[in-house]
Amino acid sequence: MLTTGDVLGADVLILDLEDAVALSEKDAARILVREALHSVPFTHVETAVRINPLDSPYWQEDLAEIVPAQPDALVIPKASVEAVQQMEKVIEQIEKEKGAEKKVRFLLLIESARSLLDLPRIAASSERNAALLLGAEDYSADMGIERTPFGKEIEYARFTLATTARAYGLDAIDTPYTDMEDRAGLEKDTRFAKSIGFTGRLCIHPAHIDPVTKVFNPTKEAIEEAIALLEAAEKARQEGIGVFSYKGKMVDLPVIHRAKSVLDTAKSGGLL
Amino acid sequence: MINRLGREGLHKPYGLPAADSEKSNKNNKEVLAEQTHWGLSLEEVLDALPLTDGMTLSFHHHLRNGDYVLQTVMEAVHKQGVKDLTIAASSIFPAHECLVPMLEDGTVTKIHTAYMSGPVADAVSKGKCREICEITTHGGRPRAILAGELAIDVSFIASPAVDKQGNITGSDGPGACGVLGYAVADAKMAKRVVAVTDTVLDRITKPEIDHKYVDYIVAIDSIGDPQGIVSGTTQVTKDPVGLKIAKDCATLMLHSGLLKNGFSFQTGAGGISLAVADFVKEEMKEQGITARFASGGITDYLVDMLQDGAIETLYDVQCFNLKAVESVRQADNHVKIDADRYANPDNPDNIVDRLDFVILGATEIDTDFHVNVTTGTDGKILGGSGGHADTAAGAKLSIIVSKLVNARVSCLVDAVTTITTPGETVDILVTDRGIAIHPKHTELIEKLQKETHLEILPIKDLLQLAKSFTGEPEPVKRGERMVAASVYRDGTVLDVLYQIEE
Repeated sequence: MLTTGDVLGADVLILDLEDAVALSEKDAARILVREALHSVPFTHVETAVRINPLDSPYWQEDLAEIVPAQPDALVIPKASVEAVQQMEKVIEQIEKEKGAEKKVRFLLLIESARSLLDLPRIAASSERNAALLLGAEDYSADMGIERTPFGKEIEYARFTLATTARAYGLDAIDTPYTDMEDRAGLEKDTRFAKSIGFTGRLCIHPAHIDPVTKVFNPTKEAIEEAIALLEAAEKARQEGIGVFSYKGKMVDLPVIHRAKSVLDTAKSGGLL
Repeated sequence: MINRLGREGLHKPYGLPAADSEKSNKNNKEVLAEQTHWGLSLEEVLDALPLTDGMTLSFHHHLRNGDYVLQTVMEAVHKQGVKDLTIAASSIFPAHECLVPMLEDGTVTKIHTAYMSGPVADAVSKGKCREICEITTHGGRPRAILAGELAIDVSFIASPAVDKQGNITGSDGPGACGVLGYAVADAKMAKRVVAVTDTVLDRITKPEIDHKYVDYIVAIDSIGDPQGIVSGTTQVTKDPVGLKIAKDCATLMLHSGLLKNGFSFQTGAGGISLAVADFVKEEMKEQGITARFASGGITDYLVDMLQDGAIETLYDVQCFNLKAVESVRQADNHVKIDADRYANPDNPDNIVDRLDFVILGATEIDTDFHVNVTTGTDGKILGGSGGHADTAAGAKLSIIVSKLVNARVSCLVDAVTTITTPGETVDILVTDRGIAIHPKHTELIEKLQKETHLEILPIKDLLQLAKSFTGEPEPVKRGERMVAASVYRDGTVLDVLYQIEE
């Protein structure tokens, strides 16, 4: 999987050093991931490494081995302002010593009640921050509540995270869908996530990548509609008309922005 | 003599793909039995034939790795002390290990087959067979038999059931294997035909082999283990990389212009090939398309599509599992065909020439699109064409599906170790890291680039990509002695195989 993970259609491949790795294997995993970053030509995907959290004894060694290998991003688990700032200090130092060409970005995993309430501060804690990620399993454990297939219990966290990410110009990435078999449930739940402002979703199985991508990618019809609308808008602009009517509906700036955003997503998804 | 592909072509070098050559279809005359003899033991039949040195004995492989007949017959033959026999078996499996000591002591000195794996293949690779073996194709074998090039002295036909007249069917009895497609040419042309069976019925309505060809009926306790008849891999792959390859292949087929109502296809029984069929099936359902036929070795998967009405007819030369055996017994549109009709290049009605798509695997493929499914990269015999070269030559689009790099070995190489299927009959290679299309298909390449987001790149670029993972492989040392020839469906020699270093 380490050498083939880039062909499966995900935008970002996260290599995990945290919960997927047994305590006795932390060193081996770290070396393996470091070597993979150096030697595997990940051609179709951005790479990220989930390091161990600030309250573990492993994060400094993780950074020492991984940052020089220059993944595109680090996933910081149990994200907090303190974690971001302490880790950034160490990272700055390593990048300076190694003469790194690019700054590693942060994907912040929100997985406690406290971090949810601190979300605006966390979102603004570093210029490296690229996305807020919801970790609903740890979050619900922290809350002392049960996870259910309907996800009613994480709605507050989802709305808050999606809104905050938007406010701070970050991507909002939803928690993974944990039922491996329920394809219809995955699609329904992902459509909901998209409808409230999430821009992507974590996948814990390759079989989830296609259905999730399908939900977040604009449909062919939506792309054609956006192109036609922008053409109409351009015509209106040339004619000096501000607000105009398209297919019986009023078109103003927010509608035009939305059409542009559809095309941006289509372009980044390789659909245009 | 060096052939047109630059390989050793022995006395009959390969020239052109059989699909392009003129159909001759000048078969020799069938050999009929004067009388069908009953009640003799195997030993008595061997005496009555009589069995002599230098004969060619034939077997079919419909019981696959569950076959007891080859072993039972050859052990009796061994006791007779005859020498220099040629075994013309349509395939050789691990269950046929009994041949190894017979190669060593000179009882058997040549093997003619379309596929071999297991201990016998190992023994041939190690130089234990005195003469150069021939590994041909499923269509090439009946062609050679019918044309009289491969003369069979005695054909021993594993017969799941015979009736009291001596007619043979594959559809009844505990060893039912469904179809006997690979045995029909043998029955017609062998000087003597011995049906070996464990089941005698009063009457068979639609026999595959008519009693007029059968000289002897021999009863034994059991002809085979039905469980062993089932091919190992008939499950759709769950491997995500395999699924990605299958999905890209299905997308390509969809945009090829050939996937429309009345199309035809064949897939191997490998996990990725079946996954391609799965994706195509979904697409067919969505667009309301039905296939006119599917052919070849039939799996339960194709039977389901037949029953759903997605495929109009199955042309079945070999059943891969028991559901196919059951279906071919009952369904009128699940049709038994013999290997001559299936893939003989000289038969103007052959099925493979009517195929739109074939999805195939490859152990190795090279930048000339030549495919090797006969040997490993070390030259050791692992299989053979089976229907690979036949379907590739016949189908409008022959598509190879494979992981680019598997277990640190690239399937794409500078030059294949052994040519099984000539590159001029192979159209497309679909891998997880990109798709290479034979440069002759300029229109298709343009169409796919315009309509899809498939990653299409020149095969040499794909090779470089593979090498970025594997590095440059070291050349494999090979022995000096020739052990087998890779024989094309028209009887010409594509390549030769050398003894491997032990």
